[in-house]
Amino acid sequence: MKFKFLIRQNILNLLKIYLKRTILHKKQIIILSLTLFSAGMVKSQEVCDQRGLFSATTISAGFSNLLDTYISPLDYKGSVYGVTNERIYSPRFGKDKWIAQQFIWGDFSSNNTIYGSGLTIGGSIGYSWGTLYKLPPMITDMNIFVGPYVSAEAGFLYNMRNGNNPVSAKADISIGGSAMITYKLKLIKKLPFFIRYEVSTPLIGMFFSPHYEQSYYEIFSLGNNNGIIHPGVWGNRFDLKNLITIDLPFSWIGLRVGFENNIRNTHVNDIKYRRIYNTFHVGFTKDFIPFNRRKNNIENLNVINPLF
Amino acid sequence: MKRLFFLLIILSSIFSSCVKETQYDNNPKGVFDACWNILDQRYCFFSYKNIDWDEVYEKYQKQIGKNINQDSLFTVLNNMMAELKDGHVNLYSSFNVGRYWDWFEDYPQNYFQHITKRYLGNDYKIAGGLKYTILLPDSIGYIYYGSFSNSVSEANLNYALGNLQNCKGIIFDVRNNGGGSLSYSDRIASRFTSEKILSGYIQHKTGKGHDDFSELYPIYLSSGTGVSYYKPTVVLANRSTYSAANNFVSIMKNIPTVKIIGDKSGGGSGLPFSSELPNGWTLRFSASPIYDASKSHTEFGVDPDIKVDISDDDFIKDVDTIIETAKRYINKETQN
Repeated sequence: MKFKFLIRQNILNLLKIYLKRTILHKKQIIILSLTLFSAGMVKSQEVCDQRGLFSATTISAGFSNLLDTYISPLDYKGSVYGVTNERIYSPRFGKDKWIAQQFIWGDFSSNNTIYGSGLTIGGSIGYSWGTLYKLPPMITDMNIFVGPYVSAEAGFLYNMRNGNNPVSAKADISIGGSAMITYKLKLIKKLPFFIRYEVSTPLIGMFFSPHYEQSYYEIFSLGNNNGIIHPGVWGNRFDLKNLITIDLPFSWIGLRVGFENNIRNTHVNDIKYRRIYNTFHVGFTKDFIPFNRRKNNIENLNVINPLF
Repeated sequence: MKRLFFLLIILSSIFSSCVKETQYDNNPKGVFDACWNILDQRYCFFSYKNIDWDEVYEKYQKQIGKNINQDSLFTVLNNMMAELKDGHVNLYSSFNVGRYWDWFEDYPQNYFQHITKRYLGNDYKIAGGLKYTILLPDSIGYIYYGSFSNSVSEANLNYALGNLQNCKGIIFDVRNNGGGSLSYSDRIASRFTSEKILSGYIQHKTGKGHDDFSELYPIYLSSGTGVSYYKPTVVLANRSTYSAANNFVSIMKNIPTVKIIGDKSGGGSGLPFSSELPNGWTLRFSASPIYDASKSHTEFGVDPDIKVDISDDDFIKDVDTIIETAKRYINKETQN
């Protein structure tokens, strides 16, 4: 600050000398000096608004419901456990009207028939990235976002009882749409709850499925992989994810609880696959400042949650 | 705004559109219907075996009463499945295993462990699932492989074939081998061919109809990368040579230096899949047929090049007629 002030003083002195020489009126000198000084003051008090990176990591547990006719015509039920990381931030484009959202998840399920006759374990890992457009607010403290996303998931089912068809591999990539509503609920002053409901569904994509009675031996050992990748549209594939979360921020860290209903359906080559997970989430949220932005101006930083 | 909420409600309400499969009741009629339908949609040899499956339904559904007990229900289902004449069709419950074993029980055994033991001796070596020795004084290698479920690694083959490399021929015995992994069949056979050959075809069902099949997909056998053996080789088979072992015989028959001696193999060319019934019983059935190199089914076995049974006279003398025939063949081949 002192250094800036000295520079400013020097500039003013030089101006005085220059103006005397150019025979300017004293009043004009005062006005010009005040203008320059006030401009310097504004700059020194400028607060740098930074869109932060909002991150939530949760563990989940719940109930699974499976049907995969490649393995069995019977319904399987069991439990599912998972980990999810969600990141939301403002992308470089969009002028604060768009946000970017990223999910990384992994889960493991253990399932059986009601007779306990065929233990089937399953697991998957996935990634999705999307951008959501913030619609003009209509209700105070409520925001609505809509936008596209891309996702990829790979997983498996393994039936302990089956001989040559114990595994059902799963893999898909897709482009879909998401809609999200966020609401800031002020039940307690200075401690608002952030409620979010998000629904997303893929609209088009590709997924893996063997033919009706094609063995993995034929596909992977003998190399007959013709026609095992299928275009995924609502006619043969329908997935839906409903996610409700409640965030309780305490300073830069907070608590998240949530519920997720995740449905996956494919019906191709007379093979029916259905997976329904109903899981409860609990975890923590945190607001970060991206490292490359932090170095710009750390002293006068105002971190803004990209969601609210 | 209203439109958006309407869309969300629509999407959320599509829970009910999840795919579903017909769930049969867990009662005798439901179990019977499930068993019949699974086989009707998924079994792969109806047309080849000329089986009228609807007629089979009429024949056996009359035997399903409301008060039929588990044992009787199991027997009826097993009898119905035996109409398929397929060793790969089984019914598994916690109290019994339903099977069709006529493919070997109605034929000469042609393999006796105590006689084979005489040839192996006490000093035979074991490499994975392979038992091997050198038959003297002919200097013919002898390998017995009792199950394709016992693993055979590339290293096992290197050691076994390396030890027998100086023998004038090898007898590879897969009698009483009930099958296992097809991968071992390819791995072993690859050590006996010097060039890539067409070894067969595979096909899979593409739908629920009895004749919904894919095009035949060719299967090639490449020469193995480890220790190989290209001198005269004999594969011994009997009616209990089944499934993956039957496939091995079918593949080896295409190699010019190999002869099949013994009895016709047992068959079992359908790759089996599993499913289950509403009461928890497991069902196994042939789902994907594998053909030989001439596009013929081997479901009922592969004919030997030299048909020979163990004679009664040899049996009394603890002599294996089939091994002796193989030895004579190799000696004759190597004399020329």
